[in-house]
Amino acid sequence: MRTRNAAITIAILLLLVVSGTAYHALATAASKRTMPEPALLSQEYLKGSMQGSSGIALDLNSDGNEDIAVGAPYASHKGSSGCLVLYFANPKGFSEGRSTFIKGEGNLGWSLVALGDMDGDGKGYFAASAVNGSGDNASLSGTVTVYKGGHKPREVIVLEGENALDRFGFTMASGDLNGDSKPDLIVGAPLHSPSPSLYQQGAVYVYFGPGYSPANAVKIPATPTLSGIGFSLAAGDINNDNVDDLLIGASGKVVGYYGGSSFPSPSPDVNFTSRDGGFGRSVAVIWDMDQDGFRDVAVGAYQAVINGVSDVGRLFILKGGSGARTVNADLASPDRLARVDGELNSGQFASKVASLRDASGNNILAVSAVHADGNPWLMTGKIFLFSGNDLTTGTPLASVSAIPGESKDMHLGTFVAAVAGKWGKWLAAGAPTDDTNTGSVRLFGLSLSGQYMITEK
Amino acid sequence: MKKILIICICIAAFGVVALAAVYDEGNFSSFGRLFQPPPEGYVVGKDNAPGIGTHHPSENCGWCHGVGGRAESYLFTMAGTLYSDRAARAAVKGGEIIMEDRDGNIISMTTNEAGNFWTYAPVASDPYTVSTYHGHEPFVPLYVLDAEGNLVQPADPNDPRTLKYKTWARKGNSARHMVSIAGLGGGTTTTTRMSCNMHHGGIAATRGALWVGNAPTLDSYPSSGLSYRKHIYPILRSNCSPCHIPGSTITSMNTKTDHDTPSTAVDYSAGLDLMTYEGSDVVVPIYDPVIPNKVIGYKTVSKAGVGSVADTANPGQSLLLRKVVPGALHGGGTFWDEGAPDYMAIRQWIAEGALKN
Repeated sequence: MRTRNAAITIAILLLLVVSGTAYHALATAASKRTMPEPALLSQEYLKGSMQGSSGIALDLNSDGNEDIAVGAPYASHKGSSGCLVLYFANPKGFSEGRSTFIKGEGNLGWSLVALGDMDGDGKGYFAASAVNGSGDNASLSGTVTVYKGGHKPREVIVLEGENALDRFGFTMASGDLNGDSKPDLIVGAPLHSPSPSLYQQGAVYVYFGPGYSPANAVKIPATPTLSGIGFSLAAGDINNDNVDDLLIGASGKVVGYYGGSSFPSPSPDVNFTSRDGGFGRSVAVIWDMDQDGFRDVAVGAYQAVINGVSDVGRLFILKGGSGARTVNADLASPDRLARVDGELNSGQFASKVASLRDASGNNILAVSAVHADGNPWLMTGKIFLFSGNDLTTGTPLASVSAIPGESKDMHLGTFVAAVAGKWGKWLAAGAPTDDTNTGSVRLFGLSLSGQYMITEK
Repeated sequence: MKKILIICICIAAFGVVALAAVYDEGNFSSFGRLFQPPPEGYVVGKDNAPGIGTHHPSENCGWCHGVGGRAESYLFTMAGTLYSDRAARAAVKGGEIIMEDRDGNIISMTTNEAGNFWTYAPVASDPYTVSTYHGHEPFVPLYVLDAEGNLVQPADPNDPRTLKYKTWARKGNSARHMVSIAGLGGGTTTTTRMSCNMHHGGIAATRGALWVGNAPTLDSYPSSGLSYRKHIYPILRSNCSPCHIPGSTITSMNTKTDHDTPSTAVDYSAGLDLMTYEGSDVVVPIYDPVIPNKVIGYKTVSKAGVGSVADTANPGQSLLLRKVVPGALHGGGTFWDEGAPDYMAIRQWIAEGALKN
């Protein structure tokens, strides 16, 4: 009898050990990279529209949940092209049907930027560009329309580029550059020609909130030492004076202008340089990674050649600071906090970078590789989610949480944004070439669990 | 009746003479080939490669489908995306890309719903030309073969061997000559192609994007009160910016075989900057003839502007218009007939004084 009881006890213990081990293995696997089918937002009848080329999250209707505005710049209607697709959230999330269209011309939806709640009624403002739009004074120059949120967003002002084919609105950013607590709108026009000798070298325009009047705008034109501007922009406080600063991608560098009453200074206050291909085509102000009191800067070089493989891409984390600064990102120095190379698959790692927070308020750097391999297809695009601990030189990408695309050639990660609502916090990611260029937006749950666990929302 | 007959004969004779002047099948010189209409009498799209190919419109196909690329097993010899206009507002389905070599062999590709085209057809010679935008002068001496098969230099732009391919982008009745076209394996690491904008439109002027179309630049124009900035400059930048830009536009041209290096300089802007009203003076570097990219001095490149080719006394006789109508000799080809909206808008603007308004 005693022997029988002992056998039963041992069997139970064995069962517990085995099941515990299995549970642990499953849990570990789940926490490292669970990749279920994500939710998908797309209007399938918008064939060829490239929905998801741009996208933002903001509360449009003051219900406490962030909504999603998506650009579809090649949506075709009556000889025009471009529209915005708005998805209003409900307490459980999003339904697949779009909530509202805003049709436009000149490839409306090429880029989008959220401007925040300007007047305190809970309805967010945002700006959308039509990169080939026509204004009152210049045709085909590109236009940017500022909207006030609502079930039917209302146009506040339409801004336009200076000359035809300037590509005004190619990229946009927002930040408070003059310290008046109102977000300003920054617009890039990469093919603007400040003078014949600077033909198509670009310009950046800053429109100050809340009015965004062109009369008060500041223009930062290309110069002989600052060419190729207007393709990428970012804003954030990197010198810890509580006023946002402006970062501009240029040929072979990223320059920074400190915000404040004297913005912009006659020449850049900060110069980050690198010889890597595509350096500065993506840039973001992130959190204070090294806890020195200054927020730091993420810069992507999506065409960096690594180990002889082209278009691998590389990510740099560079220190924020004050005063005049020049940093050669190619050299190891205290100013370079991290350098992370992409996978050797020509995935264009760091083609987009975005600083986000997860549901628990933890910082995340989302880094897109829009040509990276997915599962099971090649070249689907992939989004890497770096925690602060991941952002060190030499971090193997395999150890970083990632979301691989699951459709061929979808360019997953063309935009990324965190969407907050009563359901928690999700990651929205654009895939503009999904389903034969119809495009889509994918939603993923986003929570911290040792590593960032991607779960079906 | 007799008068009408004589007039008809004269018109016909003029047409034959005009056609003969602009059409020279055997002429593959940099000059003569530009006036040749696209060929006929072949199966359009005969060289389309298999596959769906709706992905990555406007991107450089050679990123993947070139030597060493990720899709190297599907090695395209030519590929790209075709748009309706230089602004690349919409992709063109059913457009055609044509290449013709000096022996009359034709490669024809058509575009799918994404505007993409691609082929595996052997391209006998990489037909690139080499841009020297921003003034990489003087040029490295380059080579052609003489009658005995020896390499001699430099190449003669009027030598029919100088260029291997004539190229066009066509949609319906609209055909754009291409100054050059680049094979996916073409070019060098230090140079770009001649007049890339001629056919490389696209939002960000990416290499894979071409454009063709005969639609007006703007949807409509007022009958009077034309504005240079609002109505005329968009036409000029859409149509003329491939060649008539400020600064150095001198370009080397390719010679006849894959083993030859580029040769022979031409200024494809013909000294005319149509991106400025007044014209331009741009200081450009002078490069060492031996040491690559070493600047040994500077010079000023001066060009006439839009105002110089507008004749307010005889608007229809303005060089700005005469150069681009059918029958005219223009390296960039024919843009409009005399009833086209763009033509009429420019003519009206000139008649109103050709103001920079």
